[in-house]
Amino acid sequence: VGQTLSRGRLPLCGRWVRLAPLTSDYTDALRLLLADEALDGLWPHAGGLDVARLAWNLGDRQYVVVDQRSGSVIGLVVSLDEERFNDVTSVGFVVKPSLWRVGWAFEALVLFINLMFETYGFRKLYFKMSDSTLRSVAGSIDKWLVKEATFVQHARVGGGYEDRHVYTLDRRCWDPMIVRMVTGGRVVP
Amino acid sequence: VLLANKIASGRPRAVRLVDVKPSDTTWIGRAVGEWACSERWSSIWAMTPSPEIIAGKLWHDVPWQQVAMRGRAPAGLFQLNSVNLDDGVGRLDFIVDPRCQAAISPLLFDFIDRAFDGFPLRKLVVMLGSDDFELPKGLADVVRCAGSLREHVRRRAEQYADLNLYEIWRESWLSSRVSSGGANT
Repeated sequence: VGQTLSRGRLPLCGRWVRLAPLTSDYTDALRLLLADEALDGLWPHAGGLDVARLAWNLGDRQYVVVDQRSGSVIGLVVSLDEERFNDVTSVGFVVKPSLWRVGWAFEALVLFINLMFETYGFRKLYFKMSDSTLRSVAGSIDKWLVKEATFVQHARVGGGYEDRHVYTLDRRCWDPMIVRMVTGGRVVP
Repeated sequence: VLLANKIASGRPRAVRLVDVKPSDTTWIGRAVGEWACSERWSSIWAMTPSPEIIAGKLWHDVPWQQVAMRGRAPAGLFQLNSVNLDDGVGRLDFIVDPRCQAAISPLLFDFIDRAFDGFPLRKLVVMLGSDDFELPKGLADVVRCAGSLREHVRRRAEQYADLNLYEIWRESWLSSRVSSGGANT
């Protein structure tokens, strides 16, 4: 697994999804994905015009998530606010709302986390989530991540405010074998 | 109100807030790595940042900032940055000469007063390395700790400090200022 993931700029393929470095080729597909009303308030630039440029400006590394079977773009996963001195970064992940409850779409997250730890050497990843996001992934978060902070009523959503939770994943808690388990050992560049 | 606060705080005449000038990059460049600071400045403490990097920290996404002067020498920099008016949230960052911390604490309180006075913010967020800066009493009593990012800040090889996250809510701050007569010391 380590060998196949060492070339980080190449696409990463799992069993269900493929991560492809963001290029202008994906602009239209991303615009369509992020315009979904269900993403309002969950993704900062949903509905924006030049979504690829926004995604590039938003983060330091960006990969689109492609459904292996249909070839369609179903999500975007990015690394934000990278701090190389501290070797920490935040992960942003958005997936087509119709797939929120579908486990296989999260294979993309496993691939990306492994890329950040094993290829780029980050030692800690942050996941910042609103109450709405937490509800959409109910039940599965605490098994993988540790909550380290909560900003109360931090972000305006609709007519009110929602808490913003900071979850973390430490490299010491990450076993690269998880990738093999999730993907069935089918990770190839 | 600000004038009343100044009188009530009994602050030494020698300390005051002044506007930031482009030439301030010079002393800030020397202070980085030596002075106590919040997260915005702590990430470059072990580097030798260029004037452009210092200028970026000084001017990028900073709608308001002031230099704390003690006598004729700068003793600190306070910044309101990353303001999100939709959420009503901004970040407070600073770099402070540790020898002058007590003397310029009232200026920090004035700065927070003015931040809430000049911007429609519900709260300010402060991020501090656990061994970087001790919150002055008037501030420590008011902040809410949102949590602590474990082993976030690299100190030396394989040694890390926690990054503590605090919130200063407008209501809590203003009521504490009223109850303390503006002193908060």
